[in-house]
Amino acid sequence: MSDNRDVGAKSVKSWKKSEHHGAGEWLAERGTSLVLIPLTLWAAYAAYSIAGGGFDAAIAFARAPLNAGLIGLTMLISVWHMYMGVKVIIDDYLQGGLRGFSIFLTFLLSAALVLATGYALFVLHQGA
Amino acid sequence: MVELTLPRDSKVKAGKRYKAAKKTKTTRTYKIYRFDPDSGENPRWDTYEVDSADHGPMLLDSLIHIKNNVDSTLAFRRSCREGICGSCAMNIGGRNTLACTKGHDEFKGDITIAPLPHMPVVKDLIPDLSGFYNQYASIEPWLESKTPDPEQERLQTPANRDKLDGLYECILCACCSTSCPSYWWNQDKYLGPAALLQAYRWLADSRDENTTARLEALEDPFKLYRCHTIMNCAQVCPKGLNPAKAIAEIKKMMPAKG
Repeated sequence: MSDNRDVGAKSVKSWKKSEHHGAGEWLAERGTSLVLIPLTLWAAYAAYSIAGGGFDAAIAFARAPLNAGLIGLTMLISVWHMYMGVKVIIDDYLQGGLRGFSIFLTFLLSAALVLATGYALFVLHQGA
Repeated sequence: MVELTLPRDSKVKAGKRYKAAKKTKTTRTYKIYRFDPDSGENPRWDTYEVDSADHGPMLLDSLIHIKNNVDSTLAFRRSCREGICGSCAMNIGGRNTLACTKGHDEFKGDITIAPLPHMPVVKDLIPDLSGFYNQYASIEPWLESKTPDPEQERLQTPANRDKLDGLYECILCACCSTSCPSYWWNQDKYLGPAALLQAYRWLADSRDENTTARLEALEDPFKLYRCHTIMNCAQVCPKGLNPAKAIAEIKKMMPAKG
């Protein structure tokens, strides 16, 4: 836990090294935030419009191609944004193997959410 | 990595109390962090009661008075006593600042004085800043230009010179970096606000021709992107600078570097 104590031992030369990435992630965080503004407003409006319509109305709504596309897009962008946000928190607070393992778990969960959404939309499209 | 508790040998215990011979209305109480690596003991809070009528108005005056008259073993750095050298940066009343520019009348009740947070302590109020200086050296804080040296100064337009205001005034006291939670947890990977403010000082300089290489050296998820705009740096800077804004400017330059 006392890994910070020998920070003075890290040489100037090793401080000059860089991983040559980070700007892309920074842009993606902001880009997904911007895209989520209209998508979240649409999702809130959609939820309001089908409220009280019952199960069949909800199924019919999600089966419409435009709605299905927007549901898929909203989930994809939300999960991507969530994954990046959680990864930043993990990078801040954890180190070593625990960090890598936590990021891997977050990725698995995120991928599962996107795949589940895709599968649900596919099943609806098939008319089940 | 985050550390929410101090290691066992760094836990601060109660220390000695140096009482004033006679308490008056102007007597102030200072709780000062003491640590002597040679003693093998844990750090402790020593308490000093001092009459502020006996010394000057600044907290550095209080510390010098204590060292001269009460306890000569107290160790702290100081030099210019006018806020330009950055030596006497410490945590006073819970906030990083310079002891020489902070008046003791700006505080109510007991005044707590500790070294800059989350740095290795050499002795008492003296932190080990070698890592901080290595970070600064790594951003190559000098003019880099391929243009042959002119016979006179390298000229700038007044507008270009203005871009360095709010950057060149940094005295490298480390108040900002050591107030930053991101720096506390990741100072072995994150450059911190002071080094990044200086990095931007050279990126913003119209005479410097090494911008692309400077940006490439900074593009790193940990060296630069650990800044989450917590803004403690801007809040504590004794020179009134805004390192967080300089870091934001670097982030804005980064995608455009190609």
